[in-house]
Amino acid sequence: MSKINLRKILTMNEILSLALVIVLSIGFGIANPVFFSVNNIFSLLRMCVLPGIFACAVMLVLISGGVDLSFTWIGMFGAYTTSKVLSALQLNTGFIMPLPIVFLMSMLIGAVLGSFNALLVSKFKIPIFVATISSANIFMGLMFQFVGSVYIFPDKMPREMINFSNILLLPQLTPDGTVVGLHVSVMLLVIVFLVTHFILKYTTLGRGIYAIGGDESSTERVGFNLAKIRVFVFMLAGVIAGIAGVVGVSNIQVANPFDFQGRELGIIAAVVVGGTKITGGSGSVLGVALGVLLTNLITQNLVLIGVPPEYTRFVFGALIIFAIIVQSLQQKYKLKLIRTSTASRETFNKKEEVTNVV
Amino acid sequence: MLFKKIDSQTKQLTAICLVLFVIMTFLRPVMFLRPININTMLEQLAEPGLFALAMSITMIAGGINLSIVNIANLVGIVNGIIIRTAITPETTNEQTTIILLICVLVAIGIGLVCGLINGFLIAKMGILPILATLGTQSLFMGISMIITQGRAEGNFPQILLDLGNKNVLAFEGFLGVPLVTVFFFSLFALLCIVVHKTPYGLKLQFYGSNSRASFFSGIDNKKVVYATHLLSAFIAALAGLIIMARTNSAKATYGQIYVFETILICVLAGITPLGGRGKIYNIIIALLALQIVSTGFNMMRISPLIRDSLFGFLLVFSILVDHILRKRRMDKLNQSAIASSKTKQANIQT
Repeated sequence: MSKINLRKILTMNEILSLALVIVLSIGFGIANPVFFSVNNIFSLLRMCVLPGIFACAVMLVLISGGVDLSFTWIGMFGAYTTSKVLSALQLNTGFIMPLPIVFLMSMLIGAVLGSFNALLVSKFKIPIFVATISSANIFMGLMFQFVGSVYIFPDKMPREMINFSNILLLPQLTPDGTVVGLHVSVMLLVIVFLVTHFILKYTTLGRGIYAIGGDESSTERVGFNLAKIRVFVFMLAGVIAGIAGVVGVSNIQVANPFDFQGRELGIIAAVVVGGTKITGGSGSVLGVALGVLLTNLITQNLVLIGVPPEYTRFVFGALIIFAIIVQSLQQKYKLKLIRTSTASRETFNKKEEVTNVV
Repeated sequence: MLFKKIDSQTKQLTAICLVLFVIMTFLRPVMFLRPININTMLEQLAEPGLFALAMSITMIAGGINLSIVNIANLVGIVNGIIIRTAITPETTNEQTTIILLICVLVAIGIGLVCGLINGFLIAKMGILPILATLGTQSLFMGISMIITQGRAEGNFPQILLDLGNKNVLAFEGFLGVPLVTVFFFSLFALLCIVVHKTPYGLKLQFYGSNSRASFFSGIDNKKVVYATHLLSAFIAALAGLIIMARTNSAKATYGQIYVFETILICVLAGITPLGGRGKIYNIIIALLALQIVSTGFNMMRISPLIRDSLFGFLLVFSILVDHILRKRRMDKLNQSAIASSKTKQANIQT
């Protein structure tokens, strides 16, 4: 019994990032006790929010069978347009839009842009990678042309977005007089994780996302509506990217249209480290959470143990390569297990046949 | 007859390119056709062109190489440091030539090592190219970061800058062709021959379209992967030399946007990321189209960011046209098949 459990654990996709998170946390904690201070852990969690929410969007598309490269521009489009429109409204009429409306607006824009991706992929049969790389460019250009390309500074930003960045949960007074607390956006991250998990695990549409990534033609034969699933995946990814955009913009209190540019590959790497298969059909919210935590643990906390900041990138790259090598070995081990189990079943069947004949 | 033989993608691209050219000449007739403009356009082709070549062969093999720009930057940084320390005002011309030759060798060496790492991860460890190069991309950038501590390397000797901005074939009234462009075109011709006329090229396309079938027909898949990634990294390393010579600086984070741009160029040139299909020579037409658009936009004072967006539109447009044409062809084939089966049945009945 224990042996079977060990096998199950060894073939789990999330096991690697879980182990690395635990080992690294202990290592960092021993090297520098500051690591386990409330302040550091709270700030680490806050740093995870933006890549974490984006990672959920990436994971959804990845499970459905392709790499999405447009999510940062969807998020920026939603957040920047929302900030621009609401700041104009605020300046002209003095009306301050409540926070839920801010999020809803950005999510709506994200959904519209996501459905454009879905149109390219499901109607015109363009591979997801190609479709999203071109739509990323299109979104970027449309935003710069029709919305704007200049920074929106804090004095003009929608008031509620600025307020959102200052809400702290569990505020505590540190000995040196500053207030430390868990930022409220961490709760938002948890909600996004839970909702995504629920959709993926307990709804027919969610199971369809896994199916479509595993084998498209079989999914169609089983009776899933492929176009419906595609539209759902891309719209949901767009909505999540829209949330991430608002969180990112309100975090720095400035709507900088270039803020997320160049972050795509890092977030995709975090998702992959968390055990999501890049070929589709496999992946979990837990893995994504661990992957994001792991990459942020390394990029934010290496300085704490005395590593010069210019080494961060190298360690990050080495971590990704290590993780994908381990995953490929894991995959081979899994295949071997399946092969041996089918082989033993065959011999068992043969024996049964022999006894039947006798 | 010859017209029918030409690849449909080539026709489409040439049409797009010509239309763009005519539009631009029409809108800015004096400025656009000036020799200096043509010269600048040719010079700007070289960098994205070389990266596109490096990307294209890995895409024909059904993979991708996200680490090309970082290989180029690493080469630029290492060579920049060598040149700055080795060449002083006292060095003679002969010594300088030798040092520059050594630099080329070092560049090729770095390129081959990087390609070997990529090839090892993909061929030996069986990791998907997009993942392996996603990792090595960070790794190579990290090495550059450690060497430079995040700063830009610059202040190279004048001789390097002269070499990077030299023009050849100049005559009265014509500024000539930049040396880097000549270099790019010769490499491009070479790669065309390698991919479309050699046994390796055939194996590459075969492997890209169906790796299992190529394995069972006796092709050494691992060798093909190694060769492809070595070649890709080699071209990227040469691109690094050119960037260093042209811009007189090297930085760990230079030109990250080139990764996506080259993927766009390749896809526009008909090289799908699914592998196997595509002609290398289409890259040059796609590049020209991009260059015409971006120069034209500069002249009309439109933001260069819109240019990227137009490129996205062009891509979607060309894919849509391709989709519709293919659908029509399939319908035609289906109808002819139905018709022939009907006549067959009629024949049998009679």
